[in-house]
Amino acid sequence: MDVTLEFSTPEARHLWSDFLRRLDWSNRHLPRAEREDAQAEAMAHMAELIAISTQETEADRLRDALSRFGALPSPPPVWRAPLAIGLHYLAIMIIGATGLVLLILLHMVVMELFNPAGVGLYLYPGDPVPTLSYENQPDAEEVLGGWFIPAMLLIILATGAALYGLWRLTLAPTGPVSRWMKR
Amino acid sequence: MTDAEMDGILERWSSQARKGYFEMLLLARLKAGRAYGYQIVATLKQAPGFENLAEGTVYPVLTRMKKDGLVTAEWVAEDTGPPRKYYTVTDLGERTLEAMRSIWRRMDEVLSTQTGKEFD
Repeated sequence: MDVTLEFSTPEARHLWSDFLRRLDWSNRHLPRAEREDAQAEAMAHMAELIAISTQETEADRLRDALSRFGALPSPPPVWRAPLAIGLHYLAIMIIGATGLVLLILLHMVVMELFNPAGVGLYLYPGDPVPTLSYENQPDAEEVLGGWFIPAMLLIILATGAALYGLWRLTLAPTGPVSRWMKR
Repeated sequence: MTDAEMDGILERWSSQARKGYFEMLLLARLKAGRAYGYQIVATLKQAPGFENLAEGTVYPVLTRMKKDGLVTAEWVAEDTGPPRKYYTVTDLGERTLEAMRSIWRRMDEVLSTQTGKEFD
């Protein structure tokens, strides 16, 4: 069924196009034919409300009708879905890569139990970045010593918790990013 | 308990109760005769608690009732003004309304009995 409403002032036209946009968003879950039918029915209702409004100007009559019809949710900004997809895949990469590092750290913790004198975190002279090693490095200083296992476990737990938080935010089906992807 | 606190509790209860008898009111209105959305809303607004009903909220419920087979809908072109979509209650809708009324009456009987006992 074809229902059309026309407005002469830019203000009323703007209000009306915003209403149609929200209406379309509200009915997005319906099949196309049902969505068009629901839209026609809402427009017919709006026409009735506008006709009985006692406001003076066209825009005020429309506002009056909109207020009686009730507020409709606004669709999200157009950039939100692509952003959500980007965040989703970025999170997969971060969780995958960091998870692999955590497995290596866990492996080193186990190896430390078997070879406490060799396994450790070493700092070479002139190199600011410490290196994990299975064997004692004669030219390097062992950084953590007896604190290697507690420090590694702490890092694994803290990073694991952070990864879990990232998963909840970006990959869990009930998380905000997954909901944004579904629109 | 202050009046404001009691108002809050009543508002919450009233909101839940409205949801409960919304469909029953719609079916009752349509049993009185076929009607289009605007007419249905006009009747609903006479019921207590529905005075400030957002009129657009009636359509998703009508759509659901149509899918459930409680009502049918038909567009009718008008000589003046926009076309109107008229809803008619089905046989299933009428029987559902009767069942709803029966539950409502039983609730009222239980409530009356309990209240009577309390004040005896």
